[in-house]
Amino acid sequence: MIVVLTDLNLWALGGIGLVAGVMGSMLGVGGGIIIVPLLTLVLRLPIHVAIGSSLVAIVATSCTATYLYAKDRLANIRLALLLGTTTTPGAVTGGLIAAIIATPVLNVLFGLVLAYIAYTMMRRGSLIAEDLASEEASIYPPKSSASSLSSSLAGSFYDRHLSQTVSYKVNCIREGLSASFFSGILSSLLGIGGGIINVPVMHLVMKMPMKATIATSSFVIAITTAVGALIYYYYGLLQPVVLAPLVIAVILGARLGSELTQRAASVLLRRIFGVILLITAALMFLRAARII
Amino acid sequence: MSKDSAEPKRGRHYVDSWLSLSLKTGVVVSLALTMLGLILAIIAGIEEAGPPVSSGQLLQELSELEATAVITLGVIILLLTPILPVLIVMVAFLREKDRLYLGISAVVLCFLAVSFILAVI
Repeated sequence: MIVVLTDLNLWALGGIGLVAGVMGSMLGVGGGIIIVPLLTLVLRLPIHVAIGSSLVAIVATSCTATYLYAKDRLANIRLALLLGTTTTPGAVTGGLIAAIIATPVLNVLFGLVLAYIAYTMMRRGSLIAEDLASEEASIYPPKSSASSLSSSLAGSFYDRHLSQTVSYKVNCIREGLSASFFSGILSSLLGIGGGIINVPVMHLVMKMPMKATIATSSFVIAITTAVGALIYYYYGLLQPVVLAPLVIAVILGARLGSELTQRAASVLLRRIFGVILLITAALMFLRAARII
Repeated sequence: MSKDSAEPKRGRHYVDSWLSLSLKTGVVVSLALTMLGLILAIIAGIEEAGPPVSSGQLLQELSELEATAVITLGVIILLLTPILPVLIVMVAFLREKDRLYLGISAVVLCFLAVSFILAVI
């Protein structure tokens, strides 16, 4: 499957990467849900190339996030590796499905996921901010019948905000492993990180503190998207000249976005972005129907 | 979740430091190469994109400072970056004689390594 693209505008690719990096970082969503529609709708790139490019950009951002989290010892490495045993085969499966699936079907699937994310954004406002704020008062006791595997996954980190060490155990491992498999499929199939599944499952089902969840999830995403990107590399769908401006700009944008987040009213921002995502989802459906 | 007042004891935390360092090094080297490749592409006025340079031609094209080859190397290093921490953690588990997590890490490493070998080599 060899794709050659002509009349590329490197500056436009850089611009899209910058927007994706800033918005993704400000809104706490992966860049994939921004990169894929912009590349397909604005630059008219084939959706398979857009998804492969998005996966490489997410490898870069998640590796950057993970090294910062690991420095602060927030990531639960054992859990990340355990989830990696199901998320990586999921990523291979998703990549193989994407390679044989028709473009309109991918457009529709992507539109559906966008609509779901838009709905959760507008309904719940700033999910992460709310959960982090409520975490101080929350207690997540491990089930009394915790297995030895669960005990081995127990973790702790020093919470600078609370000036305390927070210790926790991990519950419902089987459910977490199953969810990770589907998160891996979705990641490679649509070029997203998979955090939309990982984060709620790890936090709400496996009962991990949100800070440890986000840090651990970023390591899982780095592994998953690397496997997914390699599948797209195998099929010749990664385009180095497309990737270069995109990846550099996404990293710069993510840094800029984290600075801007301090000043923005996040709930309002997420609701506005939710509306934009709904419109984008509609455009993806129209593209699938070859109307635009 | 319980909260203690003491900071965590230093134990196997060197693993986190190594893991962090390996990821940082991978990202920085990869970005430096990608940026160099992008500058070369802008100078050469490239407006066309195709698949990555094959492993057989990579060395030769790198010696000629071909933009696509330099970016391909940057992308390969980036995609290799998540493998490094898994290797580091495996060494730590080996030293701790933790067979369970050594096996778990080996499974993840296998998927990463097989995907890499199939795709790039």
